[in-house]
Order: sequence, then structure tokens, then C-alpha cells
Amino acid sequence: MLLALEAVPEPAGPPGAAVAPDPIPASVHAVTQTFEDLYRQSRDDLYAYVAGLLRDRVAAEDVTALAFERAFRKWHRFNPARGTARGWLFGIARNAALDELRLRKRQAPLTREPATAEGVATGSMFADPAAHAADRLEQLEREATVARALETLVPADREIVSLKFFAGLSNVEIAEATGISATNVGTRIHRAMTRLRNACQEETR
Amino acid sequence: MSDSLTPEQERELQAMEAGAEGRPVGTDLTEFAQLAHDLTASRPEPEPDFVEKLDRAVEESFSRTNGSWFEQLRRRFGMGRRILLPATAGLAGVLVVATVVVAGLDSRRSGEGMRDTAVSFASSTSKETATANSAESTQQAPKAIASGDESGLLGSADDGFTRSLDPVRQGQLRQFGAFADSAESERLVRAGKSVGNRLAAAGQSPRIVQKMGRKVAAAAQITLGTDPDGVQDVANDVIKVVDEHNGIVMDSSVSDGEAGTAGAEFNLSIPSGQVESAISDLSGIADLRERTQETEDITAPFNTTSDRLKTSRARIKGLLGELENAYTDEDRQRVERRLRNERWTARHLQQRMNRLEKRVNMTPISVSVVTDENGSDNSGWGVGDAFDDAGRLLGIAAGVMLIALAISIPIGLMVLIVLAINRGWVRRARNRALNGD
Repeated sequence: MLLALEAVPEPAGPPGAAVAPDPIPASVHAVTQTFEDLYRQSRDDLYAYVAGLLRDRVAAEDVTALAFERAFRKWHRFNPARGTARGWLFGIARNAALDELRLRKRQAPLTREPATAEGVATGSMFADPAAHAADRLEQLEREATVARALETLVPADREIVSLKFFAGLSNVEIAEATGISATNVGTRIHRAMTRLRNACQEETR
Repeated sequence: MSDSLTPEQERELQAMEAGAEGRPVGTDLTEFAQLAHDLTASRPEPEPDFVEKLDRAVEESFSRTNGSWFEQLRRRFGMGRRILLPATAGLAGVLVVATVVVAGLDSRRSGEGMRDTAVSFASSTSKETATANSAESTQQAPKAIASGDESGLLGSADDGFTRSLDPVRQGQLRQFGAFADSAESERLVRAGKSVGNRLAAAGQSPRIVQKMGRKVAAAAQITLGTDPDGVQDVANDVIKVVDEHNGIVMDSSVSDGEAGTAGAEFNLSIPSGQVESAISDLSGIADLRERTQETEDITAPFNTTSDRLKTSRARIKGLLGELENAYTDEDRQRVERRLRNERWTARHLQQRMNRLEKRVNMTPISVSVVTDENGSDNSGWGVGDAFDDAGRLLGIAAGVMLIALAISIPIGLMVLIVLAINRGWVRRARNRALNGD
């Protein structure tokens, strides 16, 4: 079922992760960065993280909007010397999402399947339309399996997975957002992914 | 569980990151890379409607969006850095108002225009004898003080308030004690018509100040300030107030001269029932510089003297009976000798009782009229006074701040503790939510 890695099409990674090298030092960039820049850079990533954690599209939209508004109000208090803007923003979103998670009683499922995967079928190896359709179907099935497996994880695992693979945050940014150490972030990601992998295997049996 | 990863786990993690980014990995790690890729591919994307709405909200700086009540409140009142200035101004305003209120209360308590200035007695350049004869009074004073009786009496009853006064005042009040004898009062009545009338008025209806059956003696001293030209007017007003309250001017002296040397001294005796109104009237004559009132409970010496007097009279009666039954000259002489001694004791005790009653009935008030070079009335308010007032206001402001701190620090600490507890509780609640508890 799983594709060989060579077959993995080019970039399907999160927007935040596919950033070209910046000649300007990060600190200078952070100082000169405006809230608009941060918003444009992080909007979809933030939503993806919150949606991945809450598994509720409506709640995710509310929390995303609330997080951006809070960040906008607190933007003058952001200190680049204490961390990246994205780490700071995701920290705000995390608190809002956890508040939502602990307060809300509803646990509505996502109203839209996450696996749209427009980028999945754009690779050169899908030149044959029949093969393309089969692979696309297989890809969608895998994504659905992953989505179901993700539901079985505890929120803590869902959070770390969402931060890493939905929002595309670096380990340092995840550490800033969650308050855990950067070295511990890698361990937690590995453990969460191991559990996700096991859950996927359970799903496919 | 250890936070560090094994090399194998490190490789798996790197494969996942490579898979998410679409980079190639080794064949043994394909599963991990594929999982990461599938995960990344299933990333939730926001609905276009939501994106459009959020973009618009950001463009409008969230002006139309509704946040929490606190955020709405904060937006409405512009809290944040912008509130720092109004908050500081408000706090300063409250401080100023509190200072003014406290200063007003303080000034009302101590008398209008009163300043805590230490004023020494002005040396007299010329003396005018007022209603009572000062020479007579000064002659009587040493006699009274020299008697063992007087010293014992003052030692027991007067110490309470005379000790708190300066030596000059103590001397003056002791001098008043000498006049507290009824015989002296009667002599003064004979000495002057007006004085006699006033004392007679007081004597006809002796009003013993009784508070819950206690005998209370009072004393007061007032210092008034005026300009050199106004000393005579103030002196006349003092006499007028004394007349209005059926009091006696026991001693007075008025000094002419320049500012600082001109002044007046009055030793007054006012019926105790009118002391409060008399002091109030005297305080309003000129610029009130200082006012001191003292009271002393003399119930104990009063009762002791009264009991001893009764005992002495009973003894006299008994001795008179013995005298009637004495048949021999020797017995009669012995009883007469004892009778003389007992009569002397009774007379002495009666004098002491009279003094005590006098102290209860009449209150000595010492009035000093002073002039100083900086000006003495309100119109002469100058730089020195401004410094004094500024210092006083600063002191009051510091006191208000101290009280405010004493109130706000515990409250602030409690608020901080509550906030810290709430913060810890919220953090734990979030962690519980995160761990699926």
C-alpha cells in the first residue's frame, strides 16, 4: 500500500516548511516583520494545526480567528529576542485551542475530508491516466486511514503531529509554542508517529 | 521515559521529515516517510469563505469582530499602553484629592490657620496691670508652692498634665494652684469690683464638672499671633471674652515694641462650664498658633481629703465632749492642746478641699499673644510659610501614600496569589485536556 519514497511527488509539505533560505538574519527579519507578514505566512498553517488538534472545522475556524485577533492585540508585546513570531503565534493559538478543547462538549467531526491532496497527483510518474487514477484512489484511501488513525490518538499526540506535519513548524518553533524543550520535541514526535503508525496498521487490518 | 532518541529512532524521525518534504529516503525507512507524506497530504485546509472573512478581519484590524468580554472592554477603553497615562493620571488625581481631604481634616482638627510653631514668651518692654494685681499674685505663688501641702497635692493630682507642659507653663499653672484657695478668691473679690462680681457669679452657683460622678480639673493654653499694632486690640478682645464668660483675669501683661518683642500674656480663670465656648472664642480672636488642653481626674484626692475632713470634724466633736468632762486643769489643757491640733488639721483639710473644688470649678487658661518678624496674620503669608505648608502637604501626601500602600500591597498580593492559582489551574486544565483526561 505504501509508496516507495522515490514515488513521493514533489513538494507536498506544509507551506511554512517550504521556505527558501533567507539571507537576512532571523532576528532582523523578526524585528522588521509586520503582523500582516506573520498572518500571510501562518494563516493556513495555524488553521491546519488547530483543525488537526480539535478535529472540528467550525471550532477550528473560531479558534483560528480568535488566535489571530489575540495576536493582533498583543503584537506590540511580542519580543523577537524571546523567540520567533511563529512560535509566539502558535503558543497563543495553542492556549485558545486547549481552552476550546477543555470547555466545549461537542466533538463534531470534520465536515470536509482532509485528504484533498491536490498536490499528490502532480508528479511526473503519474503520466498514465489509469495509473494516475488508481494511485490517486490509493492515496486518498491512505489519507483516510491516517485521518481515522489520527482520531484515535490522544490530543497531546495529535497536537505534536499537527504542529509538525500540518503546520510545518520546526522543532524550535514547536518548543516555543508548547513550552517543552527542543530535544524533547523530537522524542515526542517520534512517539506520536509510532502510535499513529500502529493505529494505521490497526485500521488497515 | 528518556527524552533522547536512539540512533535508529533518529533515522526514523529524519525519514519522516524527509517524507513530509518529499525528499528521498532509504528503502528500509519508506514506511515512515510514506506515513509522514500521507499525513502532510491530509492536512486540513481552511474553507475559502473562512479565509476571505479572516482576511477581511485582518485588513480591518479586527474592528468588527467580537472577542471575549474582556477583549471587547479593552478595545472600548483602549487598554494597554494607552491606558497607562490615564491610569497614572487617575491615580495621581486620587492621591491629590486624598491629600487635600486629609489636609482639610487636619487643619479643621487643629484650628483654622493654626501652625505648629514653637513660640517663646516675649520679653516685656512695658507692663500694664490688668484686672488682677500681678504683683499680688506673684507674692502668693512662692508661699503656696513652698507649703508642703501644695507640693503634695500637685504631686498627686497635677503631675499628669503639668509634666507635659514646659517649665514656664508649669510654673504658671502652679501659680494658679495658689489662687485656688477660696480665701484668696474671696480676697480677690474684695479687691476688685468686676472681679468680685464675676467670682461671686461663679461662686453663687458653683458648678463642679462631673463626668460620670468624677471630679475633673482642666487646664488650657492658647498662643495667638498678630502684628505688633494689633496686640492691644487682641488684648482687649481677650478681656471681652473673659467678661462674656464670667471669667477672671488673674494676671496679664502687654508688651509694646517691634515684631518679635511685642506681645501679651494673660492668665485667666474661666468657670469650667464655659471653658469650651471660651476657648473657642479666644481661638477666634487672632491667628491661632497653638492650643493645648489638658484634663486631670482628681476624684481620688478629692474623696481622700473629704474623708479625712469628716474624720477630723468627728474628732473635734469628740474632743469637745472630752473637754466638757475634763475636771482637772491638766486634763483640760491636754484636751485643748489636742483640740487645737485637730482644728488646725481640719482647717488645713478644708483649705485643701476648697482648692480642689476651685480647680474643678474654675479652669486656668493661659493666653499668649505673640508677634513675629515673618508676619503673624494670614495677610503676611510668605516664602517661609509656603515652605512650611509645602512640607506639611508633602508629609500628608507621604502619609496618604503610605496608607494607600498599606492597603494596596496586601490586596495586590492577594490578587497576585489568586492570579497565580488561576494560572496554575488553567495550565493543569489545559494539560488534562491535552492528555485526554
